[in-house]
This record gives sequence, structure tokens and C-alpha cells, in this order.
Amino acid sequence: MIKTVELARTNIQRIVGAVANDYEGQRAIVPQWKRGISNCIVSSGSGDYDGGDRVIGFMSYEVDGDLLITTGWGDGIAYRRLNNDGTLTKLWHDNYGLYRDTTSTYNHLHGVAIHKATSQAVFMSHNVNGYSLMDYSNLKAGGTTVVNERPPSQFVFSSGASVDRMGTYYTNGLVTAGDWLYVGDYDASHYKKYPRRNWRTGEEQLLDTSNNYPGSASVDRNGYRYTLYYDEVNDRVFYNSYYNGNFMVIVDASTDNPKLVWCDASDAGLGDDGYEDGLFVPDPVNNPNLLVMGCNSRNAYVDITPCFTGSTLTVLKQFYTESHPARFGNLHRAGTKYQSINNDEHIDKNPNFPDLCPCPADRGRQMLDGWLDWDNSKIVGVYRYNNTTEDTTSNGRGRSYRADYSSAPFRMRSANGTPYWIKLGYGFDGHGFRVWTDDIGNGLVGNWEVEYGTYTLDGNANIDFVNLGLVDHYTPSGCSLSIYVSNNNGSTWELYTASDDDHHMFNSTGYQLRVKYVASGQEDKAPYKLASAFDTATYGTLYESVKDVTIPYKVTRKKIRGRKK
Amino acid sequence: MDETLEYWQEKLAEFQEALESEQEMDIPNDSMLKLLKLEIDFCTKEIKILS
Repeated sequence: MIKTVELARTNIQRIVGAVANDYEGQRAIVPQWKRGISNCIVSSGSGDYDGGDRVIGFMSYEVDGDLLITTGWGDGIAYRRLNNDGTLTKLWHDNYGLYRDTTSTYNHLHGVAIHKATSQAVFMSHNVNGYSLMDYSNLKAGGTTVVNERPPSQFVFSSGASVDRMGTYYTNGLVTAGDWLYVGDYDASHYKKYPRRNWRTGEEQLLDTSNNYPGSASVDRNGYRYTLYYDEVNDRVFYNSYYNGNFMVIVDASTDNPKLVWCDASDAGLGDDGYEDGLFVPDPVNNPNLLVMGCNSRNAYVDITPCFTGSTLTVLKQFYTESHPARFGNLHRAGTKYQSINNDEHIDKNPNFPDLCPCPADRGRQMLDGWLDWDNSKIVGVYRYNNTTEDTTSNGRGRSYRADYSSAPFRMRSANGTPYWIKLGYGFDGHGFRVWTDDIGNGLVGNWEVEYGTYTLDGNANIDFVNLGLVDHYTPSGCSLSIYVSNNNGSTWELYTASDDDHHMFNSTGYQLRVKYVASGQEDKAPYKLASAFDTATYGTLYESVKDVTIPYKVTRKKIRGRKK
Repeated sequence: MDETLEYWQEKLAEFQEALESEQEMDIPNDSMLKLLKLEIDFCTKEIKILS
């Protein structure tokens, strides 16, 4: 008697440290994040946490000391202070803080950059024209007021290009390098050029081929709908365009002599457009030119060193966003706002595992946050929160944080230096603030277990052997996945080591099959299953004569042929 | 916040408000409209189950 069953999500008897799903063709088991919705010290979207909390934009927030500045999609601009106990106090909020064109105001925005030296902040959106330039120095001095006066025009930049919208849907097209504000247009107004405006003097410069890095090729195709990133370790600004898949790196970005390095991603075979988002430099100190950049239907790990001498970048790894069952593209977010792990004021990398590249949610996908598996070139995460089974009890964690859009959690410090991790987003838990202590941070649980059962045979016949059909399990380096089987409902377990076509013979007697996965991982990686099918278990009973080891036997493998007609 | 009836009602109200805002925009984002309608459907289903 033989039977084959699926190890389906509905058969899970016990799950620790993991999330399993079956949704829209994805059958996955992934490690949970240590952070959950119940082990945070703040979980609120009302009172002090209402306003500017619908943070749809990728990295559309700023931190200045203990001040947190956020931009909301539909609920404006807000400034809050992080208190020593991890709570936040709302200091200033304006639903309609964005000056649109020359007459009206607006409440949907996702672009922000600040200049700490002068306590100025600029805010913009992609879908309407206009900008706001604020002075928040009173907040730095302990006050509660912000100066927000309507600018003389709708254009944040107007010398040779007219920029009144930035970024794309929904990314940040504003960054600061030293005293310079760099702006990336939603439209194509700064054709093959790169605008920057001085925070102190208002001077505007439009960088072009005359600013090329010696040896670099010149930009050969105009991009638009720019997302901007700033690598503060190496003083580099990245202009990455949604349309036309190439990116420009501006080195010495904060100086009077910035230089352009053209990185032609499409010539390197990474596609014609830059639909995916994010910058991640795993080791910005020793290998600053090895980085992950959003490209066409993939986040690519590349070496841009050849671009400094006019050659095409080298592709090292490709993390495809549309390969089934990942299905996260396009606009898939992978990366961090800052690249340093030593910035005491603000980091969004894991300080102990700096290779951990977070992949936050976008458009209701990757809703529980994912990560990049460097060993198997996979984007790891469940598609949505729907049809998931997860551990909600260990470490008081509760269920996973979920959002339609979000950024990686980041760490900032209160006035007395206490570090807290904060997560922002849009939709579900995104409409609000979640704050965790530093010991929870932004890492994975690492070790996880899932137990399936209980499977039986007709008439509760004995189960003597089992074969498992494992589909698309991945084990990153330094991690391990052990599989155990039981035929007595978990009273005793036996390690399953059978190869694909072989089977495991039970030493025990029993009629209730259980299967258990035991994964060993760490904060930045752990085993996972990313598949379009459940695993299967084929199990059955052997004749007594076969089980009697004193009787020599041989299984005759006979090919069954169909009858000829 | 646990997935109570109150939770889903709150989320439904948020998504409905967001949908209304998106529809009023000069250039509505089709991808966003589709997402918000999907989330509203899910919230409605959960509310029916819990009611």
C-alpha cells in the first residue's frame, strides 16, 4: 500500500521562526524577521503617530539627530522627535505642506532631502509640480515651529532645465551631498545632464560631459524618472532612471569638482530600462565599486570599475524579479538609504551582517519584506501576506509587519543616544510607526522549523518507508537544512537522508507520518523554499517478509509495458 | 495589531479613502488603483468572515 500526499500549508502542525505561504502560484517557506508586530515598543498610527505616516516612498524620510522627518502619500509632511523611551512626539505636521505650482498646496508626496548644516528640508512629489523649502532650525533648538514659505516659483531647479517634479512612482529623486542638493526629474527636462543646487547660496549647476571623469564614456542615452541615491562613504550620487536602463555615478559629489562616470547597464546586457529600485554597496570601504543596482527586471550586482576607463560595467550576479515564483518586479526595492554601518546617528544596514540587503515592499508585493540570497542569486520573500501561516508566539513577536510599500527599517538615536529601529510604510501596518529596540534590530530569526502531518494509510496500516519529493529548497552557505521523519506522530524522529529516488526505511513501528524541516541560519541568511509546488511525501507498507532482515531479498524493478493494440 | 474585525474595518476605511484620493488625481496611477481595489476586496472578505 503506497500513498502520495502534499506537504501543504494546511498540514502544518507546528511552525517556529518561519512563514509559509501558498498564494498565486507561490509555495514558499522563508525565515521570519526578528521584528514583529507585537515585540515593538511603538505600534501606532494615531495621536502623535498620525500625519506624515503613510510613507509610500522608497527611503522618503530623513533623520537629523533625534528628529525624524517623513513624507506621506495623502497625509503630508511631519517632524517628530524620538524620545529616550523610544516613543515619538509629533512636533509639526501639515497635511498640505507641499506648495504646488504657484497657487495651491498638495498632500501626496514622497520626495525629501535635508541639509543638516542649515536645518533646511526640501519636499516634492512626482505627480504634481512644485516644491517646499523649509527651515526647521527651531525644532533643532527644541521648539515646535517650522518656517514654510511659498517659493518664488514652482521649479526647484531652473538653470538650463526646469525641474518641478522629481523621482518616479514612488521613489525619492532628491539627495544631499555636502552643501549640494541633487535633483532627478520625473520628466526629461535635464536631458543628459545632472542638476544640483547649492543649499547655502541657491547657485544652480547643470553637470554635463564637461564634468566627465577623465576616461569615462559620455552619457549616450537620456534617462528620465530618476531615483537618486547617495553613497555617503564614498561621496557618490547615483542617478538611476526608470526609463533607459543606465545610471550615472557622480563622484566627489559634495565638492566643487564633481565628476561623471557613465555606467551603461544596457550595454552590459542588463536590459534597456531601470525598472527596479535600490542601491546597495556591501563593502563600501574596501570594494566601493561592487554594488547592487536596480536594472531591468532584475537587481544586478555589478562592478563599475571598468566604467571609470570608458568600458562597460561587469555583471557579477543577477537577482531576477520576475522569475517565477518570485514575481516581485517591476519597481522591486532592494537596498539601503545609507551604505555605512558606522554612522552613529543613522544606519539602515545590519551592523553585524552588512551583507544583508533588505528588499522592502512595493505595490503590495514582498509585503513582509525580503532579502537577497548572495549564494543562489535569489530574492527571498513571500509574495503577499495572504494565505500565510507563521510563528506568532516565539519571543513575543506576533505576526509579521506587512505593508504595500515600505523602506528598510532604520536605526536612529534619541537625545541620550539610545538606539531604536523604526519602520515606515504605506498600507496596512504602514499607516503608522513601528519602533523596536536595538536587540531586535533588522535581522532574520535564522533558525526555523516546520512540521507537517499527520498522514496515515487506509485502515491505519503501518508506515514502513517514506520518500520525500523536495521542490526548490535553497540553502545559502554556512546554513543547513535537516529533514526528519516520524511514523509514530512525532514520538520519535529519524533523520531523512535518502537521495531523490530512494526512500527512508523506518526503524520504528507506527502508522502516523510526520515530516519536520529543521533549518539553521543566521541574521542575514537562512535556508528557504521558493517554489511553485508543495513538497510531497510518498509512503507505504512493506510485506513482512521484506522487513525481515534475516531473509535476503531483492526488489525486482520491472518495467510495465502497455499492451500493443 | 491583531487581525480583529476592528482591524479590518480600519484598514478598509484607509484603503477606501486612498482610492477616493487617487481617483481624484489629475493623472491617476492605474497600478495604484488596481492595488487599492484589491486590498479593499480582501478587507471586505475578512470583515464578512468575522461579522
